[in-house]
Amino acid sequence: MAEAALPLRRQQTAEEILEPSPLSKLRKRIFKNYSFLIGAIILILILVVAVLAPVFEALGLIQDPYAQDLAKRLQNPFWHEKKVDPDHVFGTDKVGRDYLSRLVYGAQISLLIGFSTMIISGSIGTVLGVTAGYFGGRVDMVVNFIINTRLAMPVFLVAMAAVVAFGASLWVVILVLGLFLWDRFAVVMRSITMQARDLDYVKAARALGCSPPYIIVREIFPNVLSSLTVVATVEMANAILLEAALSFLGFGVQAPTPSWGLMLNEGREYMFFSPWLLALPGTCLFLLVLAINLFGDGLRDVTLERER
Amino acid sequence: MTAALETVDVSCVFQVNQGFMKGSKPLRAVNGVSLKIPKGQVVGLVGESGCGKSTMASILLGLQEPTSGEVLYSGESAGSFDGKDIARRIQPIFQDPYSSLNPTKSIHSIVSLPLRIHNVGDPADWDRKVYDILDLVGLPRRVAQSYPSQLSGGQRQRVAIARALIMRPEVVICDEPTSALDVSVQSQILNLLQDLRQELGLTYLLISHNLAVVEHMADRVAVMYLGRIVEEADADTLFRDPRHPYTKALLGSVLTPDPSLGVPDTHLGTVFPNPIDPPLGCSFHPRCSACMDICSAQTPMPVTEGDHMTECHLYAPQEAVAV
Repeated sequence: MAEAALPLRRQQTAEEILEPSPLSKLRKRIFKNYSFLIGAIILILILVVAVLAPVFEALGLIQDPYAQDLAKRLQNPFWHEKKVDPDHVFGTDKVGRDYLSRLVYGAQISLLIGFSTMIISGSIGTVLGVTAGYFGGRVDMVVNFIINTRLAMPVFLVAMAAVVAFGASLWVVILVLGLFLWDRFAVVMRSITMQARDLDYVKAARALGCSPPYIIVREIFPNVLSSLTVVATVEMANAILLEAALSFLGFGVQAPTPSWGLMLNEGREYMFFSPWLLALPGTCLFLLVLAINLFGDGLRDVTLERER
Repeated sequence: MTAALETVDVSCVFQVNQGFMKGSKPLRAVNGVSLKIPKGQVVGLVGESGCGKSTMASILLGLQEPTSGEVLYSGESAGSFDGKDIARRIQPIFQDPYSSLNPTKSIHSIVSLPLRIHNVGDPADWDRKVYDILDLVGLPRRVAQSYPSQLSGGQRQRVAIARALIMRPEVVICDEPTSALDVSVQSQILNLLQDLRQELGLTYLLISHNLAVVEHMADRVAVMYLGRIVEEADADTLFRDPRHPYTKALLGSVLTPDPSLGVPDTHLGTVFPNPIDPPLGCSFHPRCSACMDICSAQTPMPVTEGDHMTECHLYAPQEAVAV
């Protein structure tokens, strides 16, 4: 049987044998991509610190973020030329709470909000977008209508209204942001699914008798994953900033929970005399959002090259 | 001989949106096509871009429901099959091997997908079958662990052929199987298709705009223009004695290797008619070099002489009398 085709089989060439494995190529791409590396390092650092915060506290490296000490209000951080308290490296806030431990615990809040919002809004948006993109026609029209309805609603005002209605808490913020930030997921997933649907490998899968759920999950989804990660990181950064903004205005996380946005608000009155009260949480916010965006961009570049 | 695949007066109409609040117009991509693909033969389907060749392929594969008409698989109506039954009988090979293989899957996973979808055998069986089919299409077994991006265009097309053949279908629909490949690789793929046809007793529908490929492969050729088959005959007859002016123009448009002869003048012009708004009468008349008064008024009827079918007023019986 096979003999007839034999003359067509060719020997492997040297390049094929010497070609590096996909894994080593991936490793090479990761270490050549600086934005990915920098983003990943900052992100991992913040993540480790946030997750291990209770351990650090138990070890005595940081103090209780809620413990007030009115005798030691507004202590200077370590770089200040005036008197510095060795117990509080980053100084204290207006009621004498250790600023370093509040920043560390604030990272927990920011990351928690970022991740949960991304997962809730990502699932809603991806399901809507992929369904609309794959099935098209009426389904697409309905989903488009839902997306337009959502885009017509200002997130900030709705979030404030929800907080007034249900009371302010971490979970209300997460739910409101999660239920509102899916529009970009839906729009992006819809358009790339539409492109992928008309590719020949999807047609081939349909010609093989694969069911639509199988095609969507096994054939299309792995190919749109890299775009999804980019949207996910952008939205995560967006959610973190929105939480900070809501907390700053008093509609988000409530005192005394340490949240970077809330710390910005609390430090506002002392801006001219103790500027670090604003500079420190602001810098943390900036670094985290920057790291997430760098990481997301780099991740796309690193993973996309495999598909080409 | 029963036809492995047959269409009876198949039409496919798409509603094309004209813009906001303007309603939609019908586009007849395929307009009353009856085509027989006898078992074990190669039927070529030729025509310009946009004439409905690929829509025909989709209809035959069961991907596109025809608006009217019927598709018969081995003489049985398509209605009595579900998608998986059709998939077992008919498999496609697509034009572009760069988009027909999922870039995130290994070759093993791509080639064994039909077995997994149709629940044939167990994983050990799959391995054996995948290696068998890779041998058959002339690929080294080690590519099973590679990804499509690591293969050349010709190798990818072999993978696509392997995927199409692993379930041993009766009919393979080759939609421009070589037009995305280098010339040197084209002949390899065509020879492979020829060999496989003899070995496995396959039936091909070869869709192409490359007349040399069709002449090389096909037993019978159908020429399509604007959703209709305008001429159908045995390959020898058609290439030796084309009757329809469009077929003549197509055959005349083949470039010769001699550059001093220049680009052949086919009198076709460059304007392909808008399929949303087809010309009255014979749809080819605005470009036809032998256009008569009747052509713009009346749609020609198919005229059959032996097994040579032509749809043109030049060969209509009453015209023959008049001349």
